[in-house]
Amino acid sequence: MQGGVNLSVLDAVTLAASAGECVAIAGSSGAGKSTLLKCIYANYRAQAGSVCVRHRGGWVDMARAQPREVLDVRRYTMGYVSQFLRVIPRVPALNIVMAPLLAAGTEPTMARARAQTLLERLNIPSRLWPLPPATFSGGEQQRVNIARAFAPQPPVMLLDEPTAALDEVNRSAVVDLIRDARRRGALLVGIFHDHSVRTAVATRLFPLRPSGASA
Amino acid sequence: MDESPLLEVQELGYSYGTRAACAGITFDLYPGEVLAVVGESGSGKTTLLRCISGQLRPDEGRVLFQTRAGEIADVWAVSEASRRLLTRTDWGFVHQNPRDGLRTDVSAGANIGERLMAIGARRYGNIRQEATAWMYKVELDAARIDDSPQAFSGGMQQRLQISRNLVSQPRLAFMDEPTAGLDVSVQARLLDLLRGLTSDLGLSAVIVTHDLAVARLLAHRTLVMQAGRMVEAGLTDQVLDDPQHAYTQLLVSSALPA
Repeated sequence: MQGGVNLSVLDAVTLAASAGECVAIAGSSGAGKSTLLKCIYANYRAQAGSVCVRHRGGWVDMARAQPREVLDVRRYTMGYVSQFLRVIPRVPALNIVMAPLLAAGTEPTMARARAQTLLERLNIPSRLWPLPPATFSGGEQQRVNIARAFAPQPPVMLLDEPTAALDEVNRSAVVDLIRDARRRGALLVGIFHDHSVRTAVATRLFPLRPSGASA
Repeated sequence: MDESPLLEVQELGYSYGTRAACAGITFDLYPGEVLAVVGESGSGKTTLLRCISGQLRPDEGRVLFQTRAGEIADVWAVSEASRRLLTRTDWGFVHQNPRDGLRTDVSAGANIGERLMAIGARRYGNIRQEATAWMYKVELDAARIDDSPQAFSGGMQQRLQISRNLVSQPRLAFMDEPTAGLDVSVQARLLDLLRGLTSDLGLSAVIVTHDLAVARLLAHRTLVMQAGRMVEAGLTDQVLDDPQHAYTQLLVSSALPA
C-alpha cells in the first residue's frame, strides 16, 4: 500500500522514490523546486510527462487524472504542507487539524485525540486550540498547517519548506514528525532550506537545475 | 470512486433573442462535490444556474439528475409536476436576492418550517424545534422566530433563506452569490456551515460567485465562464494557482488579496 513516486516533469526531470525515503529537492532559487512539488500534488498540471503515484493498489498519473481522482489521492494517499495556511475564517485550530481525518472517515473522538497529540507535539498551547489561527503568529500558523498535513498519516507527503518560520525547538519537533513518518513507511519529498533540518531528515538529495541547463 | 454523477449537464445553451447567454456548457457533478461557477457579471452564470435548476428551459442540451431512488431524470423532459417535486425535495435554491427566496407574508419560523411540511413533517413541536435549531446554526436570534422576514436586515434574510433551503436536507443546492452582501463575520460562518454540510451530509452544490476566495475555500472544482462560454474548468486550486486561459489569468490577477 505504501507509495512510490515515478515522475518526469519540468525539463524532463525523472525521479523515482519509494516508501521509507525522504528525498530533499535541492537547487538554487528559481530552479523549480516548488513547481516540482506542485506538479506532484497536481496543483500545477505537468505539461509533459507523468507523475505516477501508488493509490488504492494501482497507479494514478496525477498529471492526467480526473479532478475527483486527484481529490481522492489527496484525501487518502498524498499530503502537502504548503508555505501558508489557507483556511475558512473563524474555524478553530483544533477543527482545522481534525478536518482531513474526518474527511478520510476517522471517527470523531479518535480524530480529536490525534489532532490534540499533534498540536501538543508542535508546542501549540491548548488555550489556542479553540481559536481560529487568523491571529496566530506566522510560526504558530505554520505549525497548525503541519499538524493538519501530518494528522491523517498519508503514505506520501510533500513538504514545501515546512520549517521556514520556526525556531530551533519547533524545528526539531518537525524533524521528529518527519522521522516518525518515515519510520512507519511513508515517502517524503521536500524542500528544506535549513541545512541542519535537511541533514537530519533526508535520506538522499535530488538536485534540480534551472530549466534550460542540461540535466 | 465508482459512483455515478448526481448531475450531468450536456451541451447546454440558452439565448435571449439572438444573444447567447450561455452555450455549449458541459460538466458533471458527483455526490458531495461543490462546484463554483465564476466569471464577471453578464458572463451567463446565473442563466446557467437557472437552466440546470429547472427554472429556465434551455434552448439546447440536456440536464440529467440522479434521483434519491437512483433513477436518472431528464430535468427538462419530465413532467412539470416531477420537476416541481425535485425542487421541493432533492434540491435547494438560494437566490442572490433573499426576498426572491422567502415568503414575506409568514414568520421566519414558518419560512423554515414550510419546507419541512412540504416533505411530510406534521408535528408542530418538531417543526418549530428544527426551525429554532437552524436559526441557531446560521446565527439568527431564535427569539425572533415569530417575526416577519421583512423585519430582518438583508444579511439576516440571506441566512434565513439558506436555512429554509437546507432544513429539508436536499441532496443538491444551487446558490447564486450566497455570500454577497453579508458581513465578513457572517460570511465566514456561512462558509464554515456550507463546508460542514457538504462534508458531513454529503450535500452537493453548484455555487455561482464572483468571489474567488469563496470558490477557493468551498469548491472542489471551478468552472470559469466568459461571454456565455466555459473557458476553463478543473480543480479549484489548479484553476486559481495555474490558470491556463487568458481570461482566468486576468480574473486571478485582478482579485484583491485576502
